[in-house]
Amino acid sequence: MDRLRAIFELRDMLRQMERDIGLEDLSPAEKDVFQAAHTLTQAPGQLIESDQIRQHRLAKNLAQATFHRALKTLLDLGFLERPDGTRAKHYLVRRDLLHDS
Amino acid sequence: MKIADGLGLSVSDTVIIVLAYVFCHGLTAWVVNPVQAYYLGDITMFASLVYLPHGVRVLSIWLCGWRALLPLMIAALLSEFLFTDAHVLELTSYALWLSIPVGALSAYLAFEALRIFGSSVYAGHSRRMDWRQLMLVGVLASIFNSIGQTIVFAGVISPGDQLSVVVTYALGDMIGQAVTMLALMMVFRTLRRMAQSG
Repeated sequence: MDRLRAIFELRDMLRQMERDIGLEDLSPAEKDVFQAAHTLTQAPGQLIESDQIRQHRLAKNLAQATFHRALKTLLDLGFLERPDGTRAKHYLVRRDLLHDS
Repeated sequence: MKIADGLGLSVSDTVIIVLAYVFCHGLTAWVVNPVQAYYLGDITMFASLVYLPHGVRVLSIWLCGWRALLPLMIAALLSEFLFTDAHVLELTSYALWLSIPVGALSAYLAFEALRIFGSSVYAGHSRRMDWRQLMLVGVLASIFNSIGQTIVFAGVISPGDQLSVVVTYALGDMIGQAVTMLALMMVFRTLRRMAQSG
């Protein structure tokens, strides 16, 4: 296992730990983007496009750069996933978070 | 730069593991043990209630597998010579050569036990590692370690103290791993915040 991958895996695990023990804090923009993605998900496993999230009332007023940073953070934190083999700009709300908020 | 085939871990990775272990052992010896000795007395000579290097053992084996065994043993040996009192070292020197591999192998055995039972939790083996799984491996490793260390030090520990030493070893490893992971989490959190504000 290369060093970079090891650091990423360690970082992701510790980030998850941070969230689980209640220390994770999302910015308002990240919360809005996640809430938008969550609202757009009708059923577990449903893929949503970034444009759909972008057009949602919660996200449409965000600056483009803020929106993309929020998407990246949500991906890094594991709130959103990009399943293997799916096209770019397609996201999935993590299944176990679908009933959290 | 790679060490010879068969050891398979770069020199820098080996140094990182050794330094992390020695640092954690030093913190345990200089901060944790004096506090513990004040409240609990002589049991400190054999086991710490917050043994921070256990976290380094578990994380190293998780990331590097069996390749971390040698660095962990080197680190443990170095730590004993750097931080253990001369009279304790003299008293336990004959057992030290067994105690060190037992400590390193306990974590490896815990990972291997889970792998054999079909639930490999080595880094890169599952899509997303859950920190709870790593804590569970740490608990298993601490049980292996406490049993092993008690056998190794059977001639030094009085029979009346053996149970308390077993429990202290196991608890010390578990608490030590939890503290190490929390400390690492805070380090990553601080670095992230610094990067965001900078």
